[in-house]
Amino acid sequence: MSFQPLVKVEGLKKYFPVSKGLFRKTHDYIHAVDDVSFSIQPRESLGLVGESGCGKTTTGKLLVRLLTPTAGRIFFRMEEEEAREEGVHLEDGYVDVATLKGRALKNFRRHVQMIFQDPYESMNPRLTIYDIVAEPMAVQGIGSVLEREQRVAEMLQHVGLTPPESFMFRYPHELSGGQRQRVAIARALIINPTFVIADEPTSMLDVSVRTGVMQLMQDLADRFGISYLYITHDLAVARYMCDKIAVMYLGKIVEMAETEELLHHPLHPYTKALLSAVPIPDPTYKREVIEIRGSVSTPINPPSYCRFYNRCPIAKEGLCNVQEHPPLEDKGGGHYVACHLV
Amino acid sequence: MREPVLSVEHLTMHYSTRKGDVHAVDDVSFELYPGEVLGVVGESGSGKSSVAFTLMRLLPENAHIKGGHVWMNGVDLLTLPEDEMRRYRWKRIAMIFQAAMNTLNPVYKVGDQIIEAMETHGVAYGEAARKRVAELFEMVGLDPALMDRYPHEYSGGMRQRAIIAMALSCDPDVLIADEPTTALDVIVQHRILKNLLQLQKRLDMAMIYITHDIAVVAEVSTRIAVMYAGRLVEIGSTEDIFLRPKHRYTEALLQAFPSIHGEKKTLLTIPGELPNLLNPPTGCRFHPRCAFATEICKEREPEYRTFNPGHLAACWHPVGEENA
Repeated sequence: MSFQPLVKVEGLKKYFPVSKGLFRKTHDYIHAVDDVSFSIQPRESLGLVGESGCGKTTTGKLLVRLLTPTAGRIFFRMEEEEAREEGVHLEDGYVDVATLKGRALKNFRRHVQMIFQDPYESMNPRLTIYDIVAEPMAVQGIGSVLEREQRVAEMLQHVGLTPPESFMFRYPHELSGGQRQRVAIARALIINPTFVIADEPTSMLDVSVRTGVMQLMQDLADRFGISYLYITHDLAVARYMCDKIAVMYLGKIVEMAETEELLHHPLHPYTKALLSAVPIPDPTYKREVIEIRGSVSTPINPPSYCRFYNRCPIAKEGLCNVQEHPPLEDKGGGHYVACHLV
Repeated sequence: MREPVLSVEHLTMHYSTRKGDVHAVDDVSFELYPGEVLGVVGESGSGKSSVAFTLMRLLPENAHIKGGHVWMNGVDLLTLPEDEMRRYRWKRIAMIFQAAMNTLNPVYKVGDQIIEAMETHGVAYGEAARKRVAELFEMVGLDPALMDRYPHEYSGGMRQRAIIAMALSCDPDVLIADEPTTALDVIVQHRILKNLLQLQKRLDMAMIYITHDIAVVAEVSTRIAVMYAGRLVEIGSTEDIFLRPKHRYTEALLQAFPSIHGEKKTLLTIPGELPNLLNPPTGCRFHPRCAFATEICKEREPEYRTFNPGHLAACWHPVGEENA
């Protein structure tokens, strides 16, 4: 059974200039996201994992167009009728998000929402919970005041903040971290988006509260038919939240596969090293750790050969440092790897 | 029976705020034995960092030690005058802080900061101190040439190593590590943990390792203390805690924690939120969130029961006694 993907990303790039003084011409660029391609099916959840600085958050911001890509295309599937209403141009049933501007971009955001990491900083402390959750409706001009109030109450109920009346007119500082993240989820889902980008939504929550929020995000995705791009550094959390996982390293996806396949049969040497360093909450488990040299650098004007070459335990000189960065190829059964030696 | 290097008895510490007293640490007792790593695990507000700061006597002004003792070589650290405590701090008992990024002074060279710490404590001076810093840098896996660099020239992992070097510079008997790897990526975290454990063995220090991460605690500790809302609810060997947990909170925490290893088990959710310590729940502090709570849990604070030599838990309905 194969659907048409909801989101198709092709050759996405984002370079940030590194400025060296006011009047000097910029020659250096950080290749934060460098030629990234993937697709997400309806109701599917794709995890984007990697260490700090690998470009996972930048990718997320490009997809909601909080950032404009340097190159590449982001296709989002839309119904003919919706597209006509919103005045956007479709190409084989897809709108190219990378080029959207003005009203069309604003309309596109009815379908795509984002949940941020920090429940303390992503909310205006002067607004009530009602104002915060209703804001996307207000921005998009959806519903009357009465309808918005009903919708907010309904949404608060869905995210487990009950009774809604006791939360609606409180302020963010009166809520705990877990409750705030529930408010953030209610805000993201209130206009019925089909695609939600969640950037480390549970990494600041305590364990005993985190599981509840993870469960909630899954239940709501099933109920409302939402696809997630789930950005995280925590592979154990990704295992529970994602159907597929893509591993990023210095702006490139190096491996992508079904979650259990990736965790149990990693192929890329970086994925292997990363997985072997994850602590296991079981004192009887003795793991073998694959050591790699050095640490993550910043991809400023990176060489054209494999990004992982300098740290790779299996790299072959004369091959990996001569040929272009390997393409992400299907090695069978939808297990994609970017490595010359796999 | 070995003599403990550090013995904490009935420690109680509150913070006074405008809204009232925060019961940060309540009647906490444990012993630390030579050469062991005691993992202290708990969520925010469990009191795990407050215990560490109390042991170091590095508390803010609004903190009040309400009772208890911290024995080290027959001396109660809590009753020492400040100038005598200064001789214990760093030399006998040292600490690695959570916010490593902010521990180093940005305008001094890293090596000079460590030399200063040693000179202040009379451990080594001048050239001898420089030589010792070079040795310490090698021990923690830093290039000794880096000692003449400034903190901003270091990466996060390098800074954390420098902090470890500083904590070890006065050769302490007890090292407290408070979430030293929380801000680091897993590959760097693994390297630092490995290095820290090697040093702990080589220098034969006793270590208290504080973290919220159950997976990390499984890897580093010989014994584990579990804290919840200011109380130590369970303590035992790492195997006891992971394989035979007794307190219902410990059990729930283990069932809520994801792992990339083994079968994908269903994660269980703990209902409710962490309690407000201005007004902690009566009886057992976990009772409002506990699936097994009964009347007695609300009314009376459970006492510690021994389940195995050295394995204690304070729970009215411990795991394995469903019908009791």
